[in-house]
Amino acid sequence: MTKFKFSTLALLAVFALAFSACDNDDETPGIQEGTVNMMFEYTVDGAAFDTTQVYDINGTSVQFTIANFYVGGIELMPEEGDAIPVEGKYLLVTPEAGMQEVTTVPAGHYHMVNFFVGVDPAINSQSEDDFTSRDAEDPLAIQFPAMHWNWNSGYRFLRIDGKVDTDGDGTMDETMAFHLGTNNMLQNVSLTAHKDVEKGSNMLHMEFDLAKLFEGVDLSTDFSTHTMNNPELAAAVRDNIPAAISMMH
Amino acid sequence: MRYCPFLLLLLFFASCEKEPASPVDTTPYVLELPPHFPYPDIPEDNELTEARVALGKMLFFEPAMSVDSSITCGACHKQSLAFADDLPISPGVRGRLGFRNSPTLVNLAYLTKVNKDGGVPKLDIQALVPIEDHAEMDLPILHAAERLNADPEYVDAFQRAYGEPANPFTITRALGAFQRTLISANSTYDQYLMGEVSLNADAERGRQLFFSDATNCSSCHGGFNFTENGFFNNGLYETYEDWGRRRVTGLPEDDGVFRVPTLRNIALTAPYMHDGSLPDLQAVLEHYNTGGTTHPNKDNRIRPLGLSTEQMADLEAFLHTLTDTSFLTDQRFKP
Repeated sequence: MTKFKFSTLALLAVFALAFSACDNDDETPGIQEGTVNMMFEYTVDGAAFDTTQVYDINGTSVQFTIANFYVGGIELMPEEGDAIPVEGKYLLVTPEAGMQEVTTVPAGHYHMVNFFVGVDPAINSQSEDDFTSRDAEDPLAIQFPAMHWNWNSGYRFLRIDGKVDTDGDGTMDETMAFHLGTNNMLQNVSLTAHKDVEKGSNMLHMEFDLAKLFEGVDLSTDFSTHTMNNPELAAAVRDNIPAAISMMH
Repeated sequence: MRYCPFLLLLLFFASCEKEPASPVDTTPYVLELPPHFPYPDIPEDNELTEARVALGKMLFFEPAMSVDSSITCGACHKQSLAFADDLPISPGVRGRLGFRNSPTLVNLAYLTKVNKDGGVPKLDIQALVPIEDHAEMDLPILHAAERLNADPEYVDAFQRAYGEPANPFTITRALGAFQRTLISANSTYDQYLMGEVSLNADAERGRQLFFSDATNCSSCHGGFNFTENGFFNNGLYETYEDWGRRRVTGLPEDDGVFRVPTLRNIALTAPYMHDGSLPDLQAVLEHYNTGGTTHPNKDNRIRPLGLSTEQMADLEAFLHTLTDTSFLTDQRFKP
């Protein structure tokens, strides 16, 4: 091989590497792929979510200001073969977030989608890295309103803030704060999707019902937990998460 | 043509990662330490430089770091008091009171877990706590960054220090860098260790008591920094309003457990204990002499000591030798 041919070959190889490095391969011949997005539709017992609206939850008037949570550990279960995990992907779900891109998978039928609400223990422990090191666009970077605790460097997995009318006199008199975090609060969710992923953009449209999130909780008396000061109340809400999230289509 | 593959290779490696920030000024800042102080571990992502320490000092004394620009870090951490305060609980913005006594900031470079409950894993993100806490400065760190990036002097200082604008990473790192330089190592006791002075008779008797099995003081407050960085319940209360480390771990066995603080400059940092409930050193010595309450988590080294009034006075005299007056006036730490 002459010197010239070798350098040409090297050039081509480097070109190939450079162009393949950053993108997922869009299409392998014969296999079509589709982008999967997720969207959470916020509701309160079927009614549309609105921060100006007062809702009745288990007999208590409630108005929400913040209703954010993290979703991670996403995996899609195809009809055949192993689950496809979406490594390292986190979504910060908020009422305004709308559709968020999750991954690209081969086209086909997916019968289940699994994820957890929260942040996995390794990232939550902040042992090596921490949220101050992350890019501003990263959902795990420091957020406003804060999705971390300043006194304990872990994440708030789920943050629901608002006001409640504890005595039923028509005035919102107490601040509602449900801040769930720490590894114990990680909650797995498994949904039947029956989704046919096609080439192009696909959406997993889910409902997040705040009335179901507070099922069995008397918000006139139990309206605040920062997890550690009231772990029982935090656990009650955590346990309601799977029922509060359902697949729409 | 010959260089093309290499250029492309460079492109290839540069294409996927964000450009590494390059600080403009990398002049190293070297800590001055006596032989009995080890050189502390400095995180790789926050090597000490003159520019970082200078920026951290600017931020430490910057009122814009509080929501209404009314207080600075220095408001509750006064150099004349070894970067502590003389109130049980120091007021934050709008006079709000938290629930813990302002600690001294000396020799933080050696801390393994930060805050009284150890809830913060490293000094380099600790500044988030006072900046964002409702009862302290009450300013979301992202808002702090916006304010600083609107000020050309800070834009320049952040570029020189980190090659990046103000953001949660650079703000907390700069404050960490400055605080790492707050080394107190020139007390009478340090001079005694280096053979420069001798302790007077009562301080010497106190020194012997302090390091004796009769008191066990040094089993928690040991080493060059007078703390082994342990977490214990010292029997202050039977019921703790402030859970201490339990607030972080959620474990009942951590109820009332707090970090053992350094005793350096202890004579300057009254009032004492996590909540500032003991007004002076005599009260602290009295607490340890009586052995405290009967809390189930109380460390078994906290027990009645049976010290005489003279012995307690000797211990107090020894504790006074831990005061480092040169630290209190060090020009490098002034605004």
